[in-house]
Amino acid sequence: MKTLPCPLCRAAVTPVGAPGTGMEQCPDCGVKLRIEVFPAAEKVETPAAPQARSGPGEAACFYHESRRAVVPCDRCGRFLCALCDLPVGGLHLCPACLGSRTQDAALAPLESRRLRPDLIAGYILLLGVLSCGVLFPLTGLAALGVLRRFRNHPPSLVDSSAGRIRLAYVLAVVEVVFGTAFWIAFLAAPQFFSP
Amino acid sequence: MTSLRQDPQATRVASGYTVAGRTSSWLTPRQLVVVELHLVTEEFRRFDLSKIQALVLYRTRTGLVGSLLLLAGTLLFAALTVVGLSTQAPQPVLFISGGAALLLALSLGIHWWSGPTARLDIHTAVQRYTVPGIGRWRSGLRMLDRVAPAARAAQESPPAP
Repeated sequence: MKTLPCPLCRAAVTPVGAPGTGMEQCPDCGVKLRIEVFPAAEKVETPAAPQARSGPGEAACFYHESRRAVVPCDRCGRFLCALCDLPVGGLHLCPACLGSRTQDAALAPLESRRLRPDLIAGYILLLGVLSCGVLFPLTGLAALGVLRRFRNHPPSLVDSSAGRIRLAYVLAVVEVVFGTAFWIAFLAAPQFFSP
Repeated sequence: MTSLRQDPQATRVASGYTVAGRTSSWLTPRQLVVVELHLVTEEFRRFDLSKIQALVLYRTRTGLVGSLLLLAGTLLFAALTVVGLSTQAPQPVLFISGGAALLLALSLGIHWWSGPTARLDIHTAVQRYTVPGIGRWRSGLRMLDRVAPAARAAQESPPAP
């Protein structure tokens, strides 16, 4: 049975009992734990086979001239050895193509961050409200600009952002129209606004 | 592309708040996805169920420290209110100290009712990741009870062709 380090004191804790039952206690610090160990923990990773050297007439790796190429990169076509071959989502990529992080559906498994344009627009629109409407034309236009700039951006991973984006469009237009009307009225007839 | 909330195969197994923002964990047939919303950015991590080596839920001492602090605050303000009542202190002072004592007592009650504090770690071959937003033993146990069978099933079934 694999031992795990205690999260608090790093002492070795050996899970006992059937999976899904019971609670362990660190023998050192006494912290109560519940540990679930899965079969993946018992698998021993086999060390990679020694890299084959390229012989005469054999294609060599683009990055390691002395090593035999095993596969071409699916994006740039460079020959890659087993060390440089990085399998991602069914593709074989070289480190350079992987590092470029190009927006590509095939590289979706590597994506780890998404911007939320609906929230950016929402905060900008809120700023207009907090300014009591004085900044409405600016904030409305800025929100419209953000929504347009990110119109092809991938949606939120968790929430359905289509409805929020539609609402943000409507509110941005309302802010622009009301804000512009207010400023035209204010500049044309300031006496109406003086006490 | 459907969102996790709309995906019928995805189940939310935990959600919570951290200092940085809102977090949620989703169980899909092949992965556990942990999403953190930081103001306007969603950051997410995917864990292949077949690669998870262990899940470790452990109690922390944060709850005990919080309880002691809240208890000390409650007693302090309650004592101030009692002293103020006996010395006929001005009413605003009594209201403020009494209100603070009541607020702290209420927080202490909620803190106790929520149960002991805990953290949940995901172990893989290359990392140990603490799931954000899991702050209580009860919520950690709920997530553990849902993720563990899925991970075990994913590792015991043969890989898809």
